[in-house]
Amino acid sequence: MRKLFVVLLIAMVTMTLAPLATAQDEGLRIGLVIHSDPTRPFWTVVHNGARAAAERYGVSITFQGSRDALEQAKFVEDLVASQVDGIAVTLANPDAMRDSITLALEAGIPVVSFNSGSNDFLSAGAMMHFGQTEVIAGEGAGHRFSAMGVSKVLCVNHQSYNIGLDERCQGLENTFSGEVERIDVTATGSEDLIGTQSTLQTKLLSDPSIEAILTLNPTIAIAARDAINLERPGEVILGTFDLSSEVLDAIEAGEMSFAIDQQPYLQGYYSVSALVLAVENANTLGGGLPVLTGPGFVDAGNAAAVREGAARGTR
Amino acid sequence: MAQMTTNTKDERLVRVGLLRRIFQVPEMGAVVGLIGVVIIFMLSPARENLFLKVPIPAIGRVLDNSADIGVMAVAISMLMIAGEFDLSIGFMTGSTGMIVGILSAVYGWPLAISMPLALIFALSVGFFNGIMRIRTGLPSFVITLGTMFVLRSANFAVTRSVTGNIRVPYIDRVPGYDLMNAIFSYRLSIGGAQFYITLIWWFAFTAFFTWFMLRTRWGSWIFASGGEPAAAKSVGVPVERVKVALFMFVHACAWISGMAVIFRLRSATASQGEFLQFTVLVAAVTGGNRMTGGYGSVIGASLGALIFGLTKTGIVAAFWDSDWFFAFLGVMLLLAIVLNLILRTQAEYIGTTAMGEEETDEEWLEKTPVLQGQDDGKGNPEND
Repeated sequence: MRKLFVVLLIAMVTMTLAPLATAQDEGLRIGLVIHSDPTRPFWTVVHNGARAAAERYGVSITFQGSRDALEQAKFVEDLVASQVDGIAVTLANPDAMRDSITLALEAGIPVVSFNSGSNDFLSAGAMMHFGQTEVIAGEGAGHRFSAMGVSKVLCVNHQSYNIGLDERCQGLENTFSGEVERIDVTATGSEDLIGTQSTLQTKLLSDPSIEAILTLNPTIAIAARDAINLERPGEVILGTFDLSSEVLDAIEAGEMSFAIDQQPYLQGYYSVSALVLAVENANTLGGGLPVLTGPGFVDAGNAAAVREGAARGTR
Repeated sequence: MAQMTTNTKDERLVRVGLLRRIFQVPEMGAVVGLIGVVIIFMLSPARENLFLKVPIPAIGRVLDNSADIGVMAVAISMLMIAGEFDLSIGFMTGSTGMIVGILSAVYGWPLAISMPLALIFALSVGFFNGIMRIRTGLPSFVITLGTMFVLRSANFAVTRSVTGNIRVPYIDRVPGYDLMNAIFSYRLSIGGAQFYITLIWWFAFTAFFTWFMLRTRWGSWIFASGGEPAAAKSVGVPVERVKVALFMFVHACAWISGMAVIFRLRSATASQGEFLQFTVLVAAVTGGNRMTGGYGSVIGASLGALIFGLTKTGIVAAFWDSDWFFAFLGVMLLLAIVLNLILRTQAEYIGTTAMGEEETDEEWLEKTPVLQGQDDGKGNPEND
């Protein structure tokens, strides 16, 4: 018992001290807070972009997040209390973040937003936004599906609490010539992929009129690919938002038609860079409009070129 | 144990030294843990130590990060002392928030109607959990796991069908918002530090229910219901009534927590509180409460919540890599469990001093297995 205690104690002290060994000794301190779990693949790329900018500018960053809106707001307030030099937040739920951002502004800390919130960033108090305009990106997907001549697309929403995802389906509806049906898989989402896949399998079986699927993240895309391969292989066209190595594999193997790339690396990179420039040189970017990091399209034509970056965790 | 045969006097009557009496306090593990975490963060070699640089705002953040967990931890520790647990409380904070959000912000009902309705809903689910537990005799973990999934799904499905989204915004436009906001999530700024009214709720809960558990008949019933339900029943403790009442009580507290969230965030989200049941479990266990019942403390659970809040604030402020947050939390939990076990083994070790004789701390330390490094496996208390 006593030995066990000592082992755990050593583990804890090591964990406490290890990250500090690599911490920057000087330079600005910038916090990034997201509306999701930072260890998800997509956010790792954003984090890598933020890290790269932090290294280049010689500043320290911390990257926190939670699916719980209250937790996200609290992370921002934690950063305000510790007097960081700049804060970047995602605005999946702008109302919930408004008070915390106001506190940051009152404390003289500049705030930018990234990823979600291209419509709300100014009213929420953020001075710049780095992301893609979700409606425009969704419209891009609609054009593609129309050009392929399909008549019904299933839009798979895995985070229905995230305004941005609704807007993607909205954009698809705006430009797609046929019928769009939305399906909500928030209950299983990326956390329970087997559950999400089985929901999609059931949907494909029960509705033969579905000719294409649009997923809104690369993890769900793989679940959709597997569902298609099991139930109606080769019959359903698949497109997705965002990239992963597996998505690139699927595109090269012809199992997936395209991926809409919002270039998450740039969102992390430019959030940190813009905050450094705002603090040190009073610069702003975008002129009150969101700075678009997407949509870019990845398909069989350019998948190989993007692959190298995906393997590095930068695409 | 050979010594025991030569000494059959009642060990409960042995007078013991001060050190041992301190070890016997159930909150001891939490106190030691709290001191440990404070030392870690005070000595943190981070470039700018939040706790030294801006102590008042730092305290504000620690208390805010502890308070909402604290209220729930107090409630859940009482349920745990009665030998039960409830996994559905997290999503209940979301459910109550959505009920008020949908009825008031979407359909325009006054808060005076929607809030009591949400409370009645919470109490009903608590009542259901309690009755199911009593009637079926199945472990409360299994029953409330079922309720948790139902609530989780209902939160999404109902909200989606009513609003087309799973968020309800503009709760701050509902008449009466200002008053309710003042009651549930009022914020006071003192010299750059923010303090939320939830911490008053938390302190009041801790103080009142500590008194309640230690000084009222219901308090004794709760301890008895969790410790030896059969024995308690035979001496007239209404064990079933106590347990059902406690299930309803934790859900009422989930309602308080749910209200605090929606008034603070001005919006309700169906996914709200999805991890809360686990965070409060961490807080309660860190504070010396056990899953098996009959033992524990409300103050311990509050201290557990404080350790959690301190750790969370410290990790963010020190710019630690968030990838390690949960690992850190997990190690801290295990450490707390082992520490509590060691302290309790130590405190409960049956001495060999005859009745009426005083056992000094030195004698006790000499005899105990754990501190002497002679853990023979017999020193472990049962139930763990």
